[in-house]
Amino acid sequence: MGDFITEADGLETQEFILNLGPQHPSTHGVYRARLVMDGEIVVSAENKIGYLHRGMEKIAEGITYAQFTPYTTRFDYVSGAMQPWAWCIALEKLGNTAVPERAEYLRVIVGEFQRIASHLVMLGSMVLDFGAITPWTYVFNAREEVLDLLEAVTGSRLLINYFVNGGVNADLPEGWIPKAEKALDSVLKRLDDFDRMVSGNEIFVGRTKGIAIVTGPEAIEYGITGASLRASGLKFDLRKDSPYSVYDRFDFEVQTLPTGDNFDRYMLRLLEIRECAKLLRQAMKTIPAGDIRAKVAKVWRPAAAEAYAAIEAARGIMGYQVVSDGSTKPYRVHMRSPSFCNIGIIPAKAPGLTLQDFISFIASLDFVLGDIDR
Amino acid sequence: MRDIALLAAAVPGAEVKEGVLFVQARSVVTALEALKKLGGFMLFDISAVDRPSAAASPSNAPASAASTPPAAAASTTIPAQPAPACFELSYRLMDMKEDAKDFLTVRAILDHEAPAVPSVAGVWKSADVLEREVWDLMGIEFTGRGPFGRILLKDDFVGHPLRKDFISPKRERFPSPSWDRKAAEGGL
Amino acid sequence: MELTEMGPGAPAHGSAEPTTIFKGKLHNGIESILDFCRGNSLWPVTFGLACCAIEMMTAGSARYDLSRFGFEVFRPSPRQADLMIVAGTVTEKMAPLLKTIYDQMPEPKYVLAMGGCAACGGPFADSYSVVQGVDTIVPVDVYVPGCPPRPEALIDGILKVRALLRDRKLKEVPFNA
Repeated sequence: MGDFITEADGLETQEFILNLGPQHPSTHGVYRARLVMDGEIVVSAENKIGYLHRGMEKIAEGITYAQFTPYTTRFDYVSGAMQPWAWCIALEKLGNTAVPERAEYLRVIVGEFQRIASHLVMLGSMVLDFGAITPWTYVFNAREEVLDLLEAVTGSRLLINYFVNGGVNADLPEGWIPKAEKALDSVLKRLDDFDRMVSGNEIFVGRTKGIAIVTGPEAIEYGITGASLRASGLKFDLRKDSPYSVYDRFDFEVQTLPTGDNFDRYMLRLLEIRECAKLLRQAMKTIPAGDIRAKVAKVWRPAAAEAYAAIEAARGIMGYQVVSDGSTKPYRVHMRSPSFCNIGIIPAKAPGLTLQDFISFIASLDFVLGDIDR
Repeated sequence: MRDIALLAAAVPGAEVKEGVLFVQARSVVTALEALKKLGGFMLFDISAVDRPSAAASPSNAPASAASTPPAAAASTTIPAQPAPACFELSYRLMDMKEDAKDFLTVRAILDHEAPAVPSVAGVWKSADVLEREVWDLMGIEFTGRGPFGRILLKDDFVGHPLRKDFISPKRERFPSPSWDRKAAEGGL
Repeated sequence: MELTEMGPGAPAHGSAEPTTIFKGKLHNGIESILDFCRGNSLWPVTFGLACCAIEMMTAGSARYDLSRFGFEVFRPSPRQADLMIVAGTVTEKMAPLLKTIYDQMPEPKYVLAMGGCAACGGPFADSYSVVQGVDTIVPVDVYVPGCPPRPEALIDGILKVRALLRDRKLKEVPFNA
């Protein structure tokens, strides 16, 4: 790389500072990286975040538990079903509420469809960052089918208001499951088209293979969880390793890939979508009849205690620490955000990457700023 | 998760209360180093709770809060404990070794007037951003690491918002009865 | 950077200096042709901040297709854009940058506040770090309510900007423009 111009030619270069963001094509949000560049190569990178810090944890202390549930969706807005799920699990632990079985299945179905939609956004945005617009439209069109299904159940496309303390707040409409099965087939077929178009493409492979390799021990050291951890070879998925809800009833594989470069992080999400589809078919086939919501008091005062709920969200381990003081409002809500820890590896891995590789690196890490900044 | 009693034995000066490993604030680094040496842990969360007065941490916890709900996965509830004014700093380590993976909570009680604890960023690299966030929002000093600025709030922000005595500067610019009500009840 | 808050007497934008050297009726005629062309190729600057950005992206994707109106060309550089769609919550940390991007856009420029957060602070209005509406910083032409607004609502909002361009004398766009 550096043998075109040598010092013998008498050319001096100077490092300069490049601000990447916070306004840049809106796939990842208002993320800023302060890069020190030597020509095209990144010498050092610093994460500068907080441009979307909305003070959610403080807002939670002023409103009731049920009033905060819609706020939780807005943390990681690309996969809006995961946070309310974790929040409701925490509340159910506090109140020792047993969630009806049908509600658990419905949660799994909506959650997994949301995971598919979220991974589709990641796949589309990653190739969009490379300049490939056609695969992006394919993937977003496939995502529209999933959003149609979610809208039929929950009433909204993106930021859903479905999970409540004790269950879910709406049942499946009539004829939804056959439609969902058909939509899954169509989404997978579209995904295969995308796979054929992108995964073997010479330019894409050349830009992602071998770039920004994160080894397994490094990933654990930096607290990376989710698909980025599994792409580094570690088989760790809370759905299998510490099953919550009814995940222990389904038969699905935790996908891993060995290398941990950008390509593996991309490929893993593609494989995970197929695995989600497998899970969904099982859930839709075996969903029992019954209540969708446990009885929880309207003015709900949990015992003064503390609960922690961790789930495998689309981006990694999402955790909620809910401390209650016996009143109707939470005393303290802390949200463990998967993307916040995932970006900790960027300053470590960025030196030596070219600017375009840096873009592909942050695209493959798949963080969402609402998740980071809360 | 590995048996908490065994883990407590490996960590000098730790005691187990309600499923949580309590350590002294000054020996947090040695505790986490000991746990790291055991292997198979990932530090994935650091959080703090502000308890400005003993009244804010009620001591009457009904027995039902301590039992495990049927579909529980990671950890049961921790009932509130009576404590004087303090900051509770919790480190959560995911145990990735054994079959039924769960996480361990290591907690330190910090003084309320001048909360300070040695930084573990040298032990776990994930603590780097997590500690910065806790300082930013809660004002807990992490000693023994280089200076750092605001991470989530804007650079010239004054105060630490998640503290219970924090009054939002916006309330002077946009006075509103609902905010006064919320402040009286302890939010905002 | 000092941010002055906009009040009701804020200078109007979009009604900029004349762009032709002609006067009177000839200028108006040319200007209205130019306005018609501008209205059919409003290029937004990518200013997606939060959740509304995802809906803005889907408005540009195949099903809701902004391209049939000529609006799909999202320019990352504000110097090449004439519409700023503020999609998402504006925080106090982000506000000076928003003003910088707005200032860098050439006239005539328009601002569309998408979603509740951009319009008035939305659900986060009483947070310690959220600006209560982007109209405290820049003048806004169209507000699109919703949390998040559907892509069709966003398209309707941009079409109202187009209606403003077609008739410069409009103070308020009628509902079914």
